[in-house]
Amino acid sequence: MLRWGWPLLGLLSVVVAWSLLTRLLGPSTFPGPVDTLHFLNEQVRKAAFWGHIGITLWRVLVCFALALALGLPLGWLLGLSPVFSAFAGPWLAIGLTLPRILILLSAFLIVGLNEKALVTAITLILLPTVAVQVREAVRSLDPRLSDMARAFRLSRTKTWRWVILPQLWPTLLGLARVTLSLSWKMVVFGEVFGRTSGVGYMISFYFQQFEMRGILAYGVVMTLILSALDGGLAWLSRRGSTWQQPPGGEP
Amino acid sequence: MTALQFQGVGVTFASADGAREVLRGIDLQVAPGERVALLGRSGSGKSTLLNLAAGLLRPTQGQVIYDTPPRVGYVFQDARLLPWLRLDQNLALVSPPEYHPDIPSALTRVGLAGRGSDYPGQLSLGMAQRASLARALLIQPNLLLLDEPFGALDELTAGELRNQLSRLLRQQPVTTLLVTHHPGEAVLLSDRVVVLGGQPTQLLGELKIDLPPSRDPDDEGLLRLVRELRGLIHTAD
Ligand SMILES: Nc1ncnc2c1ncn2[C@@H]1O[C@H](COP(=O)(O)OP(=O)(O)OP(=O)(O)O)[C@@H](O)[C@H]1O
Ligand SMILES: [Mg+2]
Repeated sequence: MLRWGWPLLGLLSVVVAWSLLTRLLGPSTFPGPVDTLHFLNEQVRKAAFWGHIGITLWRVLVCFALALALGLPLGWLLGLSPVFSAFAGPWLAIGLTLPRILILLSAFLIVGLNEKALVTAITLILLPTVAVQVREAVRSLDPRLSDMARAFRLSRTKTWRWVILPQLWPTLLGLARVTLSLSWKMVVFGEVFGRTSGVGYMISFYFQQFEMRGILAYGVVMTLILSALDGGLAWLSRRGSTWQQPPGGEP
Repeated sequence: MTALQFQGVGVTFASADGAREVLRGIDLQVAPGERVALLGRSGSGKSTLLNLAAGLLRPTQGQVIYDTPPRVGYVFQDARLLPWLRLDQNLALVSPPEYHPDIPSALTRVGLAGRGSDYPGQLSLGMAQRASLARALLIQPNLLLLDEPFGALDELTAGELRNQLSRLLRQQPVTTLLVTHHPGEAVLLSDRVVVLGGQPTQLLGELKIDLPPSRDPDDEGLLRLVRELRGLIHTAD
């Protein structure tokens, strides 16, 4: 029941709420689930639809990967070096507080309305959050366990795999989930303003046409895809049941 | 011949209000195979001394010298097992593969027969401490560091385990530093007891334990030495 039953009931309640909202606002203002599905059914036959979905997904994943690739070592350094952390403090403060839309629009103005601007801006938006969370995880590493590893002369690889990584793993997984969802939201945002392809662009296109069904259709499909990705990450974090630890291997 | 030597060792920790000198002028020589008990008040720097011996900490003054590079078996004051690994995996992690077949018997020797597939969170404090002892003994150390190994146990269980450890150390003789609050434990398990005290902590005195390797905690000679040790601690204080 907890695994399938309640989530299904929850999903059902979403559909019911959606239908009620349609009843309330009128089907021309806010199309219901059936209307939307009909519209979607026409769209999924078109290559263009999948093209837009594909390009958005690609952007989301590239920004996500770049933010992690840069943010992990950066956060590691921040966690280990008080000097670097003190120096980087103002940078992080700016990165964390600057309105995200400001970074995005500045990038479009400075770099141009192109792919490079979008990816750079969103990576920059994601980076401080990743770095700060990794920093906190590194700072909360248990020095007593590291001492144990040193006393027993554990190799560097063993220490990493069996002492350090299991402590970081829950943070890393949570971080990946949050970053992925933020990346998706920011990419759609960026596409509305500065791109001529992707889900965001199509949403703004349907917006200008007053075609609510189109907006909902893209929303539904992207939500499904990203829920699946998030579900994969959640599954990874459930493995090892009692302890959220990276899967695989024996010491 | 010395296995381990502290030469004028001092340790000062940085603290919020400047620096705190914890140890000063510690001179101690431990012969190969010798078992030395360290006795002192809480906070006197006993664990710090073991960390120095394990090479986890560098002395602020003086030096710690080894005869051969030590293979350290360390039973920490808290068990320090990895909570995400089973007991047998915890033991496997620190030992070379050729020792892995010995893991079940290593656990049996400390009274944890058949508990290899338990996680540390499923053990009582005392059981975790015993698993930690099994881990330290498994690697055939040439330097064994025991930090109040039975501190978390009731007197009854502690008494049993002291006898058991005494047997184990006879089977597997190894240079040992044993930290304890318990004079009886010190006399039972060591060849020499060193009393620490003062501010900062120094070596205040020592007592040779001239008893046969096989000892009975109720033996009259042993009890006499315990009384002598108590006296030494009193005068040192
Ligand atoms: N890493 C550290 N940083 C700063 N101070 C420390 C550190 N480790 C120990 N100390 C200080 O050194 C002193 C001795 O600590 P230690 O743990 O060696 O005492 P102990 O004799 O083992 O006490 P107990 O019997 O309670 O275990 C204490 O005052 C403690 O606050
Ligand atoms: Mg201590």
